[in-house]
Amino acid sequence: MTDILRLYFDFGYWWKSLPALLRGAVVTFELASATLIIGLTLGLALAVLRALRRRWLSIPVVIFVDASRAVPSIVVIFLLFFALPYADIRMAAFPCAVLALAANLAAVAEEAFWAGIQAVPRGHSEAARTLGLSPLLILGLVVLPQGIRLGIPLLTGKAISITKDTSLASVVAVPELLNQMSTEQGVYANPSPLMLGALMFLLIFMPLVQVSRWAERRYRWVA
Amino acid sequence: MTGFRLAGCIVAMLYLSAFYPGLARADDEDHPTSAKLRVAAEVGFAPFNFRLADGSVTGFSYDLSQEIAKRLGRPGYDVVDIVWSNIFAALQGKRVEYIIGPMTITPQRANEMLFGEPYFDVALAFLTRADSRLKSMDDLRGKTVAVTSGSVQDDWMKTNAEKYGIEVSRFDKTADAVQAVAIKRVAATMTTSSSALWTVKNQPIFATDVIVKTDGVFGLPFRKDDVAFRNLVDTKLKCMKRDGTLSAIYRKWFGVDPDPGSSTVKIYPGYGAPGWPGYVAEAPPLVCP
Repeated sequence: MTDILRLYFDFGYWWKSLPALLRGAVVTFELASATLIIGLTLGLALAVLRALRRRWLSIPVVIFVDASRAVPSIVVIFLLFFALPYADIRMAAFPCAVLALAANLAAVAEEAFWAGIQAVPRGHSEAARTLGLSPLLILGLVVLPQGIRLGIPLLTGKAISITKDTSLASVVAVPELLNQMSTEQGVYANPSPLMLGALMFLLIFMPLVQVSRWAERRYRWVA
Repeated sequence: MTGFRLAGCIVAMLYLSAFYPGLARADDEDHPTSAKLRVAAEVGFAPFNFRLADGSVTGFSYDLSQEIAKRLGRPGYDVVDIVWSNIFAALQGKRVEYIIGPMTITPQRANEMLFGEPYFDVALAFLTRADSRLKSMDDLRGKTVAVTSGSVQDDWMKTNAEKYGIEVSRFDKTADAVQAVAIKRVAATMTTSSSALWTVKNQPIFATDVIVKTDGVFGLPFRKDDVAFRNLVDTKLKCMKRDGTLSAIYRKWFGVDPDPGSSTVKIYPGYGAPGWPGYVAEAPPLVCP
């Protein structure tokens, strides 16, 4: 038991590694925010494209979504970071990570919003048509507001899981929290910074978990 | 299952799991003489531990530990590949018996682990591309340099990066840091000079620049309470120095004989690294079979 305290809860090392871990936490927060904003927006846009029910739009969307869901994010991050330079394209590590994760989140979000859009009863759009609304207005005023709300509960769990994957950025030297945890525990030859880092991850992502709980409850009984 | 039965099962599981570590701990279970020697390394750090095209591991440290395993009378030798920053946790968690990945003795490390005697002198160097050389430390101002997370170079960067205006990129694996140089993501990677020189010899796309001399030495790290095993391995290491086996391994990998005054040749009195925590000044006279 004393071994566990010495190796994981050594508060001396906690204090010493705190500045570096805080810097990493800021970067993790930036990565997570960028991923969420870009991923959810792109996902919604893709779902809307599919809702227009035009084959030449729907097919590329489906191809992208299926491919994004099938390939692990870390593989995409690696390819963007290590392989693209051979084609003389050099993206900084931060955008590589955000791009890979946002693509993954967009694919998942598109499926959730699409399921929501499809769940809106046909009667609603038919009624709107009889009122003389154009197809685009029907989409924007009647179908989407309800579709998005119906899709949210499907999205929350996966959004959290993909956003936590920001720690994958560590393998391409983005100085986020996991990267800093690794450095600190290497410098002090003691795993205590790992424990502190884990607690900081908890603090960063707990609000996201609570927001998604609230969203699930709020949007459960819709339409 | 009723509530009581379920609760009873959970309690039983917790009770048994509390005992399990005790069940596993038998006499000298940590270093069983009938089992292969289990060591940790970050495989990919040429020429100390790295993989050949057929997937087998080789290198200076690999050969060194294989010799130790033979002299300890073990049936074989297993290398566990772990990223450098986690390698200390692996040792403390008893997943391996010691670390063969070349580890520089530093004050923080000596506080947490028990070191054997020095066996290699360390100098740090920058590995660059042959088409973009560095003439001095000033050439690095404003550039990015890659290091392996948790290494001595990482440490060096923590204290010196700002002074020289260097931007640091920290990778989990040394191989990734070297790759980053190859694809021009970073201007250089800071590594051990022996590793840099070896890499350059085998891959002419690279070059070694700006060698920083240090007093550092490599030592084999053991768990703090593992004194008896540390002393035993130290004895084997001393015998390897005395009968020239260690120098032969050095010559095999670096093409030249080690410096007569270097830690690869010098046999240190006592057990462990002189001047560091855990050093034992008194040891019985060396007897080598």
